[in-house]
Amino acid sequence: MVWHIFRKDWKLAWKLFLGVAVIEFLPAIIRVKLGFFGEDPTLEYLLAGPLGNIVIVASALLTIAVVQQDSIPSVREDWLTRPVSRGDLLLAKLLFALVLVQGAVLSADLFLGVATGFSFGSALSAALAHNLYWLLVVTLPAFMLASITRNMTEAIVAGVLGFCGASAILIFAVARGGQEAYARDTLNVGEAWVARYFSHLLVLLGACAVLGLQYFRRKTKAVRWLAGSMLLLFVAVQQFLPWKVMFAVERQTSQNPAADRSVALDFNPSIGRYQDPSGTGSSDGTKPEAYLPIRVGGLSMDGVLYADKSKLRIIDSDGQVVYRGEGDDWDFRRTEEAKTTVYQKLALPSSLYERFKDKSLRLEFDYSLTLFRASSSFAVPAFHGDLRTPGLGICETEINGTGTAVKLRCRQAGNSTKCRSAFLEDTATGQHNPEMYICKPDYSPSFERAEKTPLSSYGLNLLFRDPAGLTHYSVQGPQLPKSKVMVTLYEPEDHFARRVIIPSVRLAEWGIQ
Amino acid sequence: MIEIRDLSKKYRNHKALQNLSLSVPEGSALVVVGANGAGKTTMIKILMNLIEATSGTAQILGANSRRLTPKELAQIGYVSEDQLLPAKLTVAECLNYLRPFYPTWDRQLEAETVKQFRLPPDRRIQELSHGMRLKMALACALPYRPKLLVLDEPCSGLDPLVRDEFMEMLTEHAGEMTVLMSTHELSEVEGFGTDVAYIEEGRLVFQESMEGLTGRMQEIRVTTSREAALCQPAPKSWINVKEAGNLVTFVHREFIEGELESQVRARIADVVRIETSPMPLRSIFVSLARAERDQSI
Repeated sequence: MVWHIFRKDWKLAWKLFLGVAVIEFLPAIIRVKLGFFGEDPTLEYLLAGPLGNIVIVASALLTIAVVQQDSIPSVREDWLTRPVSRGDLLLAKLLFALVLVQGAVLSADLFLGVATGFSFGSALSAALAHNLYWLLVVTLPAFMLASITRNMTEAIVAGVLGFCGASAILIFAVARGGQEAYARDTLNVGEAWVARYFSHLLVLLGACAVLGLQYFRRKTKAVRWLAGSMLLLFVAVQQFLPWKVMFAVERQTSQNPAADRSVALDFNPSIGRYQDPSGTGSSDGTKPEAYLPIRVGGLSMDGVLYADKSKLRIIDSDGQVVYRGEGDDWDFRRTEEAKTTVYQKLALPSSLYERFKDKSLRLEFDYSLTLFRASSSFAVPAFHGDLRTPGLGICETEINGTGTAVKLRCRQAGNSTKCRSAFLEDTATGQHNPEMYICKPDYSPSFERAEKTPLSSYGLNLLFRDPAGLTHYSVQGPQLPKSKVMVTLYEPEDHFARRVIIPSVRLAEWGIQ
Repeated sequence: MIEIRDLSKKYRNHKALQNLSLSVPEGSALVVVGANGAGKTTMIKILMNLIEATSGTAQILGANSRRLTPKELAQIGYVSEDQLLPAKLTVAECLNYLRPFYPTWDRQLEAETVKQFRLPPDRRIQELSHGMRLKMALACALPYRPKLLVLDEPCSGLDPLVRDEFMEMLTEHAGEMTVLMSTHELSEVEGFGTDVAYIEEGRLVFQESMEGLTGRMQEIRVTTSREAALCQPAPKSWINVKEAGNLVTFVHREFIEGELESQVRARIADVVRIETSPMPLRSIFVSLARAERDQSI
């Protein structure tokens, strides 16, 4: 009877499905139309914000509408008194959700991938990864919500209440721990996928429990409590999963767990205070800052060391811990043989700084680190370049409107390495412009694409002319037809921890010079 | 067919059902009557596993109502005044959808029912009037010839013409199945039920055969030669006793033909004539409800 119920649902929901499918294709069509260099701020805002959210809401509403064709909690629904197998009904609804709701998302993603220029295989693989994420983040939660509510109005009200409840928890957390405490360990870090995976697991378990109990036992009241508790747990995992747990999981994914053996960190006071490259010698002024020189030893020239987290304890001369916090993240690349030190930036509360700035303090840093290794390099013609390789994805180049920079724009099907460097090189002379390096790590495994599209996009603007004439570039406009953009990708090789103890330091001595 | 034992249902502080026990033997047509809010719908919804009882058990076709499987449900027809049929399906689509769920579905009977009820096959259920929707519900319940037909206030809100059509169809098929029907509109079930149960404030007041009830409930008119003087108190089996001039009227709850005269003469002097008349079902329940209300006052 699964197919029979499915066909009934299709008959009732096909118009809604078509409407939702159009909405889901719209962002893909716009992205394809924008191409690699179409920079329309309004459209980009729409894609990232309202339109992206409308797609999510439309997809969720379609799921809810289909599930509620045969509402479970109602006491007036005709189907409840019919010999409809609950198992068949559940399977039919899941089939609809998977084939049509998820199918529409998959088709739109596939279209985007293929229309962008990726092979069908890579586009499908990226679309499937994105689809799995969509299932866990949009479709299954909507399915659960629909199964415990009688109609669309109830579902929307419950959804809004759930959102308000989750927000209230976050507001409470911020009120208790301050803005800095909010989700600092779980969001905006390369390891964010661990918290996401825990919450995905929770959604899966929640779906099994909620749908099982609701479809086979019809325990609406109890299941609503269960769903509410799951939501709280979901928020807690997403926002407050301890860093130790996240990094412990991350360490298990190290490609080469022995790679860190040679890497050593220690305090290197001999190098002196931090010199502000801007020469202004001031911070942003919101918090007093200190910059502590940390020597990185044992790193090869093709390696990058990234500090995912630097947990700090400040201990006074009496042995009392006077501050627990975090230093800023940093990455360190040996761009030249002599470079050995990175400055650890600390932004401290004013009261603490004023109280202890001239006192001798013990600082303990617990670093969670990731070692990157250059994995591959590519050369893209600087002038109307178009390079398609499995490692890099599709990269195109174009001169910007003012004729000052080469725009490098790349797209990759699925997740891409977030650390990369690029520079302009004249292939005839071997001269090159300064290297640009960008690293925003995301270590999530390739089968999860936690973004609004199945494609990753990134870009760099490589300057070759300074209209003010202050900077001189080795590779300039006339050389561009013979030049290439050399791109190097860095892949995470090892995740490991190090502790750096500074037995005695006066913070006032380590401000900006 | 149906066995209900000590069924209770509590909504916060309100007791909708209080230790209600009732049975519906195979082949019977039990009409459950009671005022609005007496607990009839609650009882039926528990039977159909639409809501859960607070305590007690309900067996339907030998199965616990909480564990009704498609096998049992395929033998039960259910029509309720507030039933939500798939509103966006047309009449024909709805029947097409339901058909495969019932191995015993009789397409000829389906066609006859649809024709007799003049149900427009291409019209969506949400576009049907209330009366037509109830007819549709019955048209969806009869074609598989259920062993048990459960009807919850099926005639509520129907105009007389539709009500007659509905009851005609029901009466036509009632002989083939066991029927449980709740109603507070008694006029339409006259001559339909074989048994009757009376529920008041969630409690079963009585359950007996329709024949027994109409036999024992008689309206009595006693004419006296002088102004009537009734020895108080009147027997408990006499309800709604009224005295006016030389006339005493009352409803006898335990009427036995041969015993009436002696009972009347023992209480009322100068009796000239005693007349008995059977009561329509409606009058019986109005009398019972009034007596119940007066007692509680």
